[in-house]
Order: sequence, then C-alpha cells, then structure tokens
Amino acid sequence: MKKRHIEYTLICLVFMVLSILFFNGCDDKPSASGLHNVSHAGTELDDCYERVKLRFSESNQGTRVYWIGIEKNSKILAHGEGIWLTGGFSNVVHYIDVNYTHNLIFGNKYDYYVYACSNKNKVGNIGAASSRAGPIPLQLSSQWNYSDCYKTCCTEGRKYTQLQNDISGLNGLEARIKTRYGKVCSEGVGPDDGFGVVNCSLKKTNQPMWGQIGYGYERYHDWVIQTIYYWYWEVKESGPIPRYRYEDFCCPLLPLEGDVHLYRCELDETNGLWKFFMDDTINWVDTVYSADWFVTAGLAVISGEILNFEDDMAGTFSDKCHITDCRYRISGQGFQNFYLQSNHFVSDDLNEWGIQRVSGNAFNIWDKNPQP
Amino acid sequence: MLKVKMSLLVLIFLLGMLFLRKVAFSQSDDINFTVKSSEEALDLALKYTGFGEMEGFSIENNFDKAELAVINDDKTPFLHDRINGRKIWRVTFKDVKLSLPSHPDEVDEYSRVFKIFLDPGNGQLLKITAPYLGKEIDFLPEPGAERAESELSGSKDVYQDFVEWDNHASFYDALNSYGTLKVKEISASLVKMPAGADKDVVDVWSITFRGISPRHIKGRGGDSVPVYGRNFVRNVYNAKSGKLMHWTSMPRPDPKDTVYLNR
Repeated sequence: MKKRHIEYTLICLVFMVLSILFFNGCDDKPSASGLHNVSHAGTELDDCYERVKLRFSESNQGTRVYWIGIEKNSKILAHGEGIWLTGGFSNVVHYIDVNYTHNLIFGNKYDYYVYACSNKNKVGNIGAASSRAGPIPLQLSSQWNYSDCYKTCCTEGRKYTQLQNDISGLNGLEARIKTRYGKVCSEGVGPDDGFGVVNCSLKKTNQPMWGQIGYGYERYHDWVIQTIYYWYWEVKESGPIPRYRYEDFCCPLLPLEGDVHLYRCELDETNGLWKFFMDDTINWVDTVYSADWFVTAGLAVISGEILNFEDDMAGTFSDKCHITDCRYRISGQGFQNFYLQSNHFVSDDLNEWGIQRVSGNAFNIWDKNPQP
Repeated sequence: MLKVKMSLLVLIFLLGMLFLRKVAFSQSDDINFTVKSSEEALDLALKYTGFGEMEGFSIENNFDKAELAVINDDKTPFLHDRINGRKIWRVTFKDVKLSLPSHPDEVDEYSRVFKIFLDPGNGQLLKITAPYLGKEIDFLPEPGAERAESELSGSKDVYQDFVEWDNHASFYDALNSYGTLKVKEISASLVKMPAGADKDVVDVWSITFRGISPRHIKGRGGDSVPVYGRNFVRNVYNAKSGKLMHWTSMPRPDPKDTVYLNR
C-alpha cells in the first residue's frame, strides 16, 4: 500500500513539473483562447511582394504583441512584423508581406494564422506564442518578377581587399589570420549565394592559376538557408576543373570566431606538389600533385574576398581582421618576412573596405559598412 | 500407364511452379548468400536509403524490382573490384521525387530512378545511384576508377571498405542534413575512410552531386571557370551523425568527357 502511495506521489510530481514546463506564460503552447473571428481582409499586390491582411478580434488578455504567420507541417515559413495591442478589441486588421525571400510557390495554398505573445523578441516563434487562431487557407496569387526582386537583395560582383607583391621564384606563403566571420548578404532569407573568405594565395603572373588556403563563410541558396563556416584550400591549374576541399563544418578544428590560425601553402615545383598547412600541424597537411605546377609562382596575395557587394568583408572597424607574420619563401631559400609598403595594399573601394598597414609584415582589413 | 502420365504431369507442374517462383521473387539459391530473397533486399534498400521516412514515398508506388545482377561498369574508387563481375542485388525504386524537410517548399522537378546495389553475402551497401534521365547534359560523368584513385590518394580520401550497418544515419538523413533538390544526378557510397584531424578511419557517406548550380571558385578569375568545371561536388558526411564533414571537387571528372555535353 505504501509503495503504491509513493508511486502516485511520483506521478503527481512529474505531472506538476510538466505543467510548470509547458504551461508557463508566454511559452504556452498555442491555443485559440482570446483570439477569435479571424478572416481574410484582402490582399494587395506589389512588384516584389503581396500583402495579405487578416482581420481578428480579442477578448481582454492585456497588452500583447500580435503577428501573422504562415505555417506548413508545424514549421513557420514566413511571418510579419508584430504590433502591440491591448485586448478587448474587435476586427483589427494586420498584415504580412510575403515576398520572394520566403521561397513560397505561386499558386499553392498556405495556412495563415494570427499569433499573440507578450514578448516582442519572440515574434515568429511558434513555440513562444501563447495564442494562435486560424488557419485561413489562401492561395499565393502574385507573379512577381523573381529576377527583378532578386537584384534588390545582393549585387553580385566580387570585391577584394588585399596585399599583393610580385616576387619571382616564389614557392611559399604564410600568415597568421584572425578569424572574423561576417554575414553574407542573403543570410537566412534571400535567394542568393554569398561568401566571404580570407586566404593566402600563390599565383602565376598573368595566368589564372593559383594555390590558396584560408577560411570562409558561405551560403549556397540551393542547399541550406544557413551560412556555413570552414577552412579550405584550392588549386587552380591551366585546365578547366579546379581542385578544392572545404573542411570542418561541424568539427572541433573549425576556426572559431576571434581565434588566430597560421595558414601556409607550399609549392614543390620540382615535383609538382602543393602542400597546405593549418597551424603547422602535420595532420592537416593535404598534398596535391599537379602536372601544371612544375614552375614557381610569381605573385603573393593575402586577400579578403567577397562574392556580392553586400557580403561582409572579414573584420569590422572595432574588431579588425588582423593578418600578421606574413612571410614568403623563394625557391631554395627559407621563409622570410615581407617588408610591406603602402603600395602593396589594394582595396576595391576604400569607402567600403578598409586596409591598413600595421608593420612590415602585418596589416588589417575590415568592412566599413557591415550588416547589422 | 495413366498413373505414370499423371505423375509426370504433376512433376512438370511442380517444376514449373518452382521456376516461376524463382523468377517472380528472385530467390537466390546460393547457400553463401545471407540476403536470399528480394524481400530481404528491399528491406535493406529501405534501411540504407531511409526512403521509408520520406514523404510521398511508398513501396506500392515506388518499388520497381529487386533482382540479382552482374554489372561490369562500376567506377567506385578503390572498391570497384568488390562490385564488378559479381552477382549482386540490385533494388530499383522508380518515380522517386525527393522530399526534404530541410527544403519544405521545394518540389523535386525530376522523377528519379534509384538503384541500390547490395552485397548478397553480407548485406552491405555497395552503392546508390540515381542517374540523370533527361537530355540536357551539362555536367561531366563520373571519372574512371584509376583517375579517381590517383586524385583521392593525395588528400587521403582512400575508401578502405564498405560499412557494416550499425544504426547509421541513412542516405536520406545525410541529404536532409545538407542536400539539394536542384541536382540532376546523384551517386553515393557508404564506406570506411580516414577523416578528421587525426585521420582516424570513420564510416562516411560519400555522396556526389552532378548537375548542380555552379560552385564559386575563390580568387580573381574564379567565375571564368566553365560551368562543367564547377557544377558537381562530392560531399562527405559522418555516417553516424549524418552531418557534413567536407566537400571537395575530387575526384574530378575527365575534361576529355566534354564530348558528352549537349548543352
């Protein structure tokens, strides 16, 4: 009897804990209590979006923030901005602007809901909504010009902020580079690819051939919506198909924000071999044989590169991308320090991307207008 | 005499039934096979692909056939000898439209045929292929094994063996972790390979995507690389977690194969 008593007590305790966890204020599971009389209040069409308006009413639930969202399979596909309203209102009209960044399909039906929550920072989070009412199934009717809207997001055109130095007989390059991940233009929403990288690169003069190693942040729109982070190397030969390897998206040795790592590329031109190192660790070496590279390089480049004008170049004014211990190697010699002068530094637009000599073998780069 | 005729007829009938059963169910009579029937092969194919979890996929609509076959044109680097010239199970799924929760609003524009090759001796997955069936071929085919092995050796991506299944992430899990529907052709291997910082041998999904949107080659002149030099990639995923570990252009296709391009 006592045993059963203990069991009942335990069950009650578990129930109480669960109640506290799942029925706690704004983190309630959505319910329709309070919100009612939801209806479609019209749709306005624009060149790049359609504004869908819903009408709804609320009994007196105090002051809360209300927003409209679109769901599929319990996942929110799009949401509008929140507005603060005080309960006890009838037939208020609010809207959501559905645009090309939401990747919805023209002609398809989607479920629209009204949500309420007391925390404005949680707008768009289904789990945080304390009330939800709907669905209102509506067909996505717009036929906005995708390519026109596309251009309003990212302006494709590569930009560089870099050190470059002609050195004959070049076959090695290294630098310590601070990891400063930026945002890509389309991060989280847009239909564009974007990237930012910082790398050490040995190039042939007047020929599109190089070997490089560095780190970067990148998004391929077709693959996932998130930006991913990596270190990488790449070898471009005279042929049409480059070799590359992008590594460590999820692994312990991914360069972490703020960390400094040594990146080095070496060319053994007598055997046509490239070697890539990170932090001098032999375990990270990758060796690439190339029949095209039985010659030395002629140009040393340490570069910040972005794909779109709006992608962030590495570094910000207050936390620049420091590039130090820049050294090169000439065939038959050891690594030696650069003696950098102002004419070695190039920015595609100094109003947008800063570059600053720190010493004979160190410099900084940064984005002057990074995304917020 | 009548009894003898009747007995012969019954015998012929029984033999006929036995033959028909063998054809219909591709029952293997090799006593060394652990995967003896098409039903078992189908179960394995579903386990490796994970397609049973995929919205829109059903055995009724998508299972085509499971048969014992001998193929001779496999190019899997380092392991093609384990596939070519042997009797292996080939399970075919037809009219497959990939549906990835990671791409909730995208619809697969291709109707794909997946072929899953299985070792009848131990049930290991040998390969998954989904060849492009359209006519706009803007990508280069898989390179020959010798070329592929030469390229992979430099970066230590040496396939050592096929994998003994042990609650691994499925092919579908890997695709859902980092995949795309905008791909014309897919091939995948579940293999043991050195990877990570210590180059420990781990189980990986090595999945090659051909006919994708072109990759961005870094460096001035990166955009001048022809599309067929950029519209493929091999992703390597940890087969335990399904998470992407690295992507690479190697093994690269043979540029001589541009003769196959018709777009």
